[in-house]
Amino acid sequence: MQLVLEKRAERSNAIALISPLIAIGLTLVTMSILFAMLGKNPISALGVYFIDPLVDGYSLQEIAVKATPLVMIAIGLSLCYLANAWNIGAEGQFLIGAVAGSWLAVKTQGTDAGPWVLPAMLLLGAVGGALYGLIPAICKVRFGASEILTSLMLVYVADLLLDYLVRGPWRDPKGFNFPTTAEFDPVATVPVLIEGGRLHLGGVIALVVVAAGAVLLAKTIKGFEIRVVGAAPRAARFGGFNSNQLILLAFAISGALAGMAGIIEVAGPVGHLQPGISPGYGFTAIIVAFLGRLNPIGILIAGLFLALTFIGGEQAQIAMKIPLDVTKVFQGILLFFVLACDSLILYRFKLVFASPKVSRGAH
Amino acid sequence: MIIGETPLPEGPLGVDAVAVTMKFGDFLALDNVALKVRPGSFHALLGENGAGKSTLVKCIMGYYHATEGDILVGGREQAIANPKDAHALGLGMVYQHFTLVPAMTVAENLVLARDDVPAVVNWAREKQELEAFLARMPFKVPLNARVSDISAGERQKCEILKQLYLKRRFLILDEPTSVLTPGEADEVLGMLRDMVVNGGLTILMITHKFREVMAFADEVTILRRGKLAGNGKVADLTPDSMARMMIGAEELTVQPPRVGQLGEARLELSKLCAIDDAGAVAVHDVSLTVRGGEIVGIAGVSGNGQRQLVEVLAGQREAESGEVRVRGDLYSASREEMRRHRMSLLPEEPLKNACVGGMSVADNIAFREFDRAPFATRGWWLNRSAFRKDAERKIGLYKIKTRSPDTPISALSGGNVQRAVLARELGGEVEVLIAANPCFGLDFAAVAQIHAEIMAARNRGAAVLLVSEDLDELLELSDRLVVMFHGQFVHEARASEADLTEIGRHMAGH
Repeated sequence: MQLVLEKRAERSNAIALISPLIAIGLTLVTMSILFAMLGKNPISALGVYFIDPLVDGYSLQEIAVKATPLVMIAIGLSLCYLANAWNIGAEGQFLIGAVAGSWLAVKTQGTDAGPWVLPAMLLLGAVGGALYGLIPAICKVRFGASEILTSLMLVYVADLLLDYLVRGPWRDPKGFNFPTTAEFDPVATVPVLIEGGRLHLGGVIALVVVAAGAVLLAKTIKGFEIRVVGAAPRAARFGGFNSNQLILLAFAISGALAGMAGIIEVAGPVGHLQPGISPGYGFTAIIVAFLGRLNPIGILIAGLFLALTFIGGEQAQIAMKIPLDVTKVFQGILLFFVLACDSLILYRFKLVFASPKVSRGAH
Repeated sequence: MIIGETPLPEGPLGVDAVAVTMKFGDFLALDNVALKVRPGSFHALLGENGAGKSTLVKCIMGYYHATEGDILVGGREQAIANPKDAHALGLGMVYQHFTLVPAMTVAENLVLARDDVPAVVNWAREKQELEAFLARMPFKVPLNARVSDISAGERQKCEILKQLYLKRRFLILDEPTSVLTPGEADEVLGMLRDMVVNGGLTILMITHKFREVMAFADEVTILRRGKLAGNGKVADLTPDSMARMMIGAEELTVQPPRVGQLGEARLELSKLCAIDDAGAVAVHDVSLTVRGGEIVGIAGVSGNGQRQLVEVLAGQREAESGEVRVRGDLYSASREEMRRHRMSLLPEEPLKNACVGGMSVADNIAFREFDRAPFATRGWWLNRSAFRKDAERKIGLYKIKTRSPDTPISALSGGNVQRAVLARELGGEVEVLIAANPCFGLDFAAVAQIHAEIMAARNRGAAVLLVSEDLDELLELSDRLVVMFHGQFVHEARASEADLTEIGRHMAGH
């Protein structure tokens, strides 16, 4: 008797919808085992992770704040992945966007520049991220370099560039030598939505991005082309589609969204440029994109869910002394299960018995 | 096999499949099918693609386990759990595609196929035994030649010899002549026929060629859509009566007569070269002109560069050198050029080459025109209702069987996928049509419809390039016939004056 994977005659739409839920379920089971091995009560640990943040007003706002960059980046990544372009470097595009936008904030610091500063910063962030995203895309299209490697390696370049700037030319002279710029002026800061709260305008921008992503994919020529090029490259060449142009476009949009998320994060919750502005948003957004089925609405839900794991992880660290790295383990296990469960859309498990006589009973 | 059981009878084996039913999930692939192959007979298994022929022989060979029913070998019920069991009983199968190792010699291939290959092979002795074995066989193959150096016909003979060398007494041949020239096919089947007549061998041949059934088989079993449609002695049947059993009551599209005049040159290839995926030259210095109102057929055994040639024309492969002109303009298979010149393509394996499997039938039908009015407005927005309306019209016109225009196209049967591609490619005006094995794997109704459409496009003045491995199809449709061998055009003839043996010789490279 053996267990085999058998190809389904047709892809199962039901499984396609519930596969992320199965993945989350399996992740929770695995995490419980992990918590038990760490000597913590799994039930209360999961409670701290997933229930406590949802019943506290401050945490709810914080979830939305954390979900904002995740969702924005993941929408861009989903376009890349749909087009079969594997942008792994959103983290770098996020950092470069933050740097590009911060340049204006630093340059206008202390001047009486008007309210045009913030929109211009957002624009600069998007342009910076897009240009940075185009580097691996051009290398792929022009030289056939693997975009997976180049985009990933550029993350570290961006990280070091940011480090250099905040330790060198852009360091706050009154900052006691801490590697950070001075606090941005009010005109260079993303306004909060509720007085005294944490929720800021970026959340609204993220929702607009979700809507725009949904419209782009469902209703526009470019969206159609992106889906064709990704789903059937041979057929796309047959139809005379310019797949190189679409790869460039997908990387540019993806980079722009990551870059804008970067400058929103810096000009919003952080308030100044410093190293460590991202707890790995660019990488976690990959999980968000797949957990959300590369679908804008799904990505919104998945982004909120993964933001919850960040907040829950912080609370678990405080309340139960669970290391913050467990959150990363959690996210990694989740991506693993999402991808694994997706094979059930096209395949199903089947028990095979050695003797045909026995197998008749099983049909 | 159980120890102590009486051994199977000597000589040729008979195989009976009794009331075999095979279900794949909800799909009934075989419905209470009976097949009786008498020992020492040449039996043909006839049916359209998807009729269940392959499923039935796979049940016999132990690849599938029938949901219901029994397999009798030599008159005794056998539980065949896997192909190894089938081999032990003396059943062997020759596949449509070759299973020999190209880099090894014929002798090495034969010896290594045995179950009991010793750790150290005494090649001198094995060679001697092989020579002795070959002396008893009607086929002659060069034992010391590499498989990659011998022709398709010789390879097919090796495949059959391998089965005989392994002492198989019941041979299943799955469309054994599909890769052979007509001359080679007659030679191989004739020799097999002699072996059956002389005793010692039983043959079950899957085919869809009536000519081969009439010439070589004693008895025939015909399947239609998973059911037994008829059986009997070939001597009592005619190709017409067999065709009726295969097709059933379905009415076939009538092909329009060949009319119209030759127009100006539409498609010109000059000194075109292309390489295959492995980097070997696949298309070598090919030049050809196709004029409006004519069908030029390209004949050739599969693997002689036809696929790469079509891929270059479809934009799926870059030419190494040479040029393609359409109506005098240089052509590089861009969307804009395809549209301007009203190019249409019917590639082989349409689901893989010309469709996006996960997208809907409507999306796939709109695949060429989606970025133009009425499907798109203001160069940016898609008009979904236009997609749907156009799809609904074409689904009706081309008799595409689908649940709705929103069904993913991969859920459709092969014939209906090809119909959808046909609707897309031939639904508008066509000036140049390139078709590659457009009917491969399709049922009669779809084939008749596609042939009629191609002829109609020609009659309306389109230049048609038809690449096919099916000589009958080429002779039926073409005005001119070109034979492709090793990437080159080696022979050209008017189809009406074409000599089948002459073409066969050129296909084999002589």
